Amino acid sequence: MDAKRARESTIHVYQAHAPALLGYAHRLTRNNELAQDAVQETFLRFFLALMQGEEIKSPGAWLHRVAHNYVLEILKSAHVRRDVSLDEAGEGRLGDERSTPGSDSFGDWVESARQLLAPREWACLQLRSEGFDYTEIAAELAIRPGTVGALLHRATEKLRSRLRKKVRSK
Amino acid sequence: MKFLPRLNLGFWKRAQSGVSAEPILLGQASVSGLDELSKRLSRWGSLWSAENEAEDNSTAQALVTERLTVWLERSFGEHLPASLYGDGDAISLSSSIPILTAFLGRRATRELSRSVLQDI
Repeated sequence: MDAKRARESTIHVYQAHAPALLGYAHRLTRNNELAQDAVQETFLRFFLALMQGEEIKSPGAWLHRVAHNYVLEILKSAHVRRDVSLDEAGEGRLGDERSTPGSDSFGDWVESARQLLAPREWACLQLRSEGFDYTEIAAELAIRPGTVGALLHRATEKLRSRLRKKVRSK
Repeated sequence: MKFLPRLNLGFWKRAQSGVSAEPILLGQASVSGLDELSKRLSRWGSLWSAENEAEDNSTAQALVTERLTVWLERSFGEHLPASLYGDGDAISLSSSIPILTAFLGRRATRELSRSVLQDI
């Protein structure tokens, strides 16, 4: 693809997907600046992929996968972990929202869910919650659609079980 | 006995939106990001093929060529750049991408081109 067309396509896709992607990146990082960096980087890679001649059938799923991987890379980086400490920063901010440590905010619940699920289960659930169908998720995670169903089923079973325990303990 | 309603994605989505730890103005962030992105893409687009000889691009183009040469030598040996490109031919991303993609794969090549264009 020539540079002009790739640029136009990227901008068009940006206008359609940037807000959702920013929200997604923000949920992963809990940090505005990092989330915006992730979105910029993802679209730069999208442009490069087009320039390479890559055919991207489902831009939304592609962008979410690349953003997800980019954020994971950043989180793994010792430099960022030391300077920003995302999890700690996120918990700290959530802590500000909580009235007491034991209160039941959605934030607490999602954080515990994230820790409960395996990375692939979490990734499937994230993409599904962004509106992608099984085929798109399968394509982007390089797994079969049947596996997507199994991972989502396992994830929801784990979450349901956690909720039951929580209800019983009250 | 059913203790809880079935989990559904609407609930999940609401739950996730509740995680937002600090306010974020999505629309505003997108617009400012778009300007920056647009400028970057124009610049990269003109650097992709070494045809654009604009004065302000010459330093950046030289940097791209230098970085690409290093990558080509690192990937295929020091003689390859000289074998592929004659004295008059400039090493550019557009001319190097096919061979890099063939040997390294799409993803690695994309990351390589990203690192070549780093800070430009």
